Amino acid sequence: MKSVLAIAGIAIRSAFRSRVVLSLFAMLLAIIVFLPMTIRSDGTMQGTIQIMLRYALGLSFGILSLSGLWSGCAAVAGEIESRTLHLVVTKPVRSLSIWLGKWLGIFLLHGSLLVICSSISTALLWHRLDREIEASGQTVSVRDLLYVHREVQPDEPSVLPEARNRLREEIAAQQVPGDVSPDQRLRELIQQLQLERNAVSRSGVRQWNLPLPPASRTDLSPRLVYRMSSSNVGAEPIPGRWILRDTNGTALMDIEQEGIPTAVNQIDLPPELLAGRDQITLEYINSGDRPVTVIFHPADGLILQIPAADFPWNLARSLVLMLGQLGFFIAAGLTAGTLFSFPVAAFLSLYLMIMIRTAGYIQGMANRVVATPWSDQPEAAGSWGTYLLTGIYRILAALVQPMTGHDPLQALALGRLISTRWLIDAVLIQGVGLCGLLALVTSFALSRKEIGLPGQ
Amino acid sequence: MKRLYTILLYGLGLSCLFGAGRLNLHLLDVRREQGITQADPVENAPPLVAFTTVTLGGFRGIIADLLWLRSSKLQEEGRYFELVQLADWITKLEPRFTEVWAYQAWNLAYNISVMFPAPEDRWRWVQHGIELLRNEGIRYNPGDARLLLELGWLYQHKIAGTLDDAHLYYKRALAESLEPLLSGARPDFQRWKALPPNREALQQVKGMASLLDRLRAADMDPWRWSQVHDTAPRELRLDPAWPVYSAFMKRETFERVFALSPETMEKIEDTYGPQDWRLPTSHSLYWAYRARQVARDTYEQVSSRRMIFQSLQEAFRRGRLVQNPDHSLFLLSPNLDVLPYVLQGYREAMAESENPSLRDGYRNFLWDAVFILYTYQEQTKAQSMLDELRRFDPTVDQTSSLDQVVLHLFAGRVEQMTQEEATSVVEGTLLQSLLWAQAGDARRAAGFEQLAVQLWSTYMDPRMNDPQLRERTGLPPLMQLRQSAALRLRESRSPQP
Repeated sequence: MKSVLAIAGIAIRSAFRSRVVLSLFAMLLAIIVFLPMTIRSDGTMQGTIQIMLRYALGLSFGILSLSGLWSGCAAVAGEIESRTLHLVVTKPVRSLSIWLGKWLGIFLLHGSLLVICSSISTALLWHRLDREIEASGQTVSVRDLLYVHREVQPDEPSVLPEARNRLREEIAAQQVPGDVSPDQRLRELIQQLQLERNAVSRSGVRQWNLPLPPASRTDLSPRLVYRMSSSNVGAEPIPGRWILRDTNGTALMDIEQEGIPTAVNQIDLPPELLAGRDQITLEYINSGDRPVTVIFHPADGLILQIPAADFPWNLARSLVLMLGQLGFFIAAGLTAGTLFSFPVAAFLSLYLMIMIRTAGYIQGMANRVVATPWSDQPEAAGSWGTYLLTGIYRILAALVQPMTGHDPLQALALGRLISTRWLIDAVLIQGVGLCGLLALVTSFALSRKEIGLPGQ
Repeated sequence: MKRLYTILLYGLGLSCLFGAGRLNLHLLDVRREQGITQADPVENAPPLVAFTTVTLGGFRGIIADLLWLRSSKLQEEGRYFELVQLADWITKLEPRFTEVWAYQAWNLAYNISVMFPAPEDRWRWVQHGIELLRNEGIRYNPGDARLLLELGWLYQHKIAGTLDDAHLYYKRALAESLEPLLSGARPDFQRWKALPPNREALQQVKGMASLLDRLRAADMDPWRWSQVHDTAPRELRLDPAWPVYSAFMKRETFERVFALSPETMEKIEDTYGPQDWRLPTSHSLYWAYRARQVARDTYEQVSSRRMIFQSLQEAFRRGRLVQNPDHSLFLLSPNLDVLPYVLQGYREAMAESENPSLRDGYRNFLWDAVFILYTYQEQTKAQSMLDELRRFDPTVDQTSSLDQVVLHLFAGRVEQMTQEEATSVVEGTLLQSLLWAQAGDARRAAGFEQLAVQLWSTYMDPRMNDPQLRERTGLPPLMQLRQSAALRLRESRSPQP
């Protein structure tokens, strides 16, 4: 342990000596101090919260991630080039201890900077909101304004099994045209079933069952958020009636609201309405006079937001997630620095970071699949080029998938509670699983590496 | 020898740098002449914009593209909070790209605003769009006629138009933001001219230093008029220097916030008659006038001329604000003074272009003018407009009297209307009469009253001798319709900003 701490201390000193790292820290300081002064929100307090957290904290985290990667690469590859690592490896220290020491040193430095940046950003946000509330003459407190909510989505079965059943029937009845692959037909059937489920024609009704978690504060309003499209072109509002019922079918609330297609529509519910209930049913009636059909978005058509926790609690959770990601980047840098020379390691690490940042795009490309020749539908049509590309994207997506996840900063900015399950998953996968795997790979590679040969 | 060599190298480097600098000026001149002005230094740019445009070079485009992608994604997801900042950055990265400014402003004012049901939220986004162009885009590109026209369009179409459900709220909010600065429909240009030109000169006015100190002592920033205006105690308002101070601050705030130059406003009034500067039509006229001054090609010249007379035409229809003292009434009435300028604008535009839409527009305008002047009891002018219409379009009925033409114009074939349609037309006309009477415009009230009587008579005449038909399809007595209109007026309330 002593050797680990000693190496950690050396790693911190080395990071401080790196010009690149120091430049990044200078940028960090500028971002924390100057960015909040220059950024403009949309003029609402919610806008101020979102933009301050997203930009100040997001950029700080981005810079620290870059710096962590760079320091990780430099800690091994750089030290091999400058021959300073030779002084350590010739001592009776295990390669795993070297890895741990270096990782710990860089992580402690960057992690503490992240915590400091978050604290400063939060304090500045709190101060700015306080001033804005005072100027606007509102009675709301900053604590209530930043209160975090839990998002509850309707409890509905997936349409996938039904879509598969229909596809099987269509294939058996030879109803799938030759130029349409089964995967493509499956996607069409999924869309069709989602449309059937979510479309509400004039005077039509749509119902959802919502399981309710307990609300932490009964004085704050839960909020119903819905998004829909309409068969009309444009953003003409569509009148709708919302009825909220308890499990016995008794109406607890019945209100009319004109929903704007494609916009995020909101209904604030009375705070006491959901107290003591574990489930409710929501009913939407398309009450317009004109023959317009409303289609609720399958992914975020209806969400119930329930007050769940104070902001600092969510901030702490998001910090844990960000620290987990930071730890992973440092570990990736150390591994790349062990396996390759410094420029190659830096380039590969940067590429990995870009891949993780563009994971959504990679995932999207991987999902735009055509049937593969080795799938169980030999009727599949498509070129080998498409199969190859799809295969590459699927491999990339599978590789990147454990390293990505939901964006904690987005959740923090939008006031969404970071759930315990999310936290545990992230810690186990990124913190323990991936970092542990990289530690083993790196220490193995380090123990096998012949440091001190000519040219090294 | 080595030192001499180093000095020589430094000298050569400096000479090259100097030469490149000199050559760059020449290159800029050539670019200006050829109209390729992307490399022209941005005028009036703050340090941040100047820095990004120079240091990022060609990479600006890539960053702008990435920000644009993010902006589109957020907009698609319904997350609008960041869009003002993103639009700000995108435009600052491409400060000379007219289309970027125009698109971003239009997107904020049109696409995003309609996503909000509450008029106050919509107004905030319309303002964001306007501010992006007015306070930044035009500031960096003062000679860009297209940007000036884009801004004019936002006033002319988004606020002065009636397509947006919240258009009345916009008009009212704009008027209420200008009213305290103008103290009426238009500024007192002579008084504004007599005021000190800047803050330094203001501080030299006798007693001003003492007033400013007293304001500071009362914990107010004397240069923040909104704060002083709302919170200054009575004893400070009685200070002898207060009238000059408040007038100066009103003018300064007006110029800074609305970016309008009093000198140009005065020139516009000299050319096109008095305007109500609380209304969006005056602002579209202002920006179109500015665009006309810097227009470089035919498109810009024609577009700015059109916007000028379209704004004047709109001012003729709804260019005078009628409010009662407690502002519970907000009505837009015609500004008859601008009629000659609208006619002149149309004639000049038609002489310039053969476009048939102009002729259609002119014909429609003449019909409107006949009707509006008639309802204002301006029979002579209405007759003159009818004569002009008949000269311009020989297919127009050449024989009917002015009364008959107006009646036909307003009600169409009123005799053939259903009972419900005729009732609503007559009641609506009486409502107009009451509305104008309440607004203190007796002339127009009388015009509508007269029209309602004529409509009622025209509809009822064929039924007077047929009791059965009268019983089945006849209208209620005028007195009853008047009471109904009065009741409707009491019930109607326009939205409050």
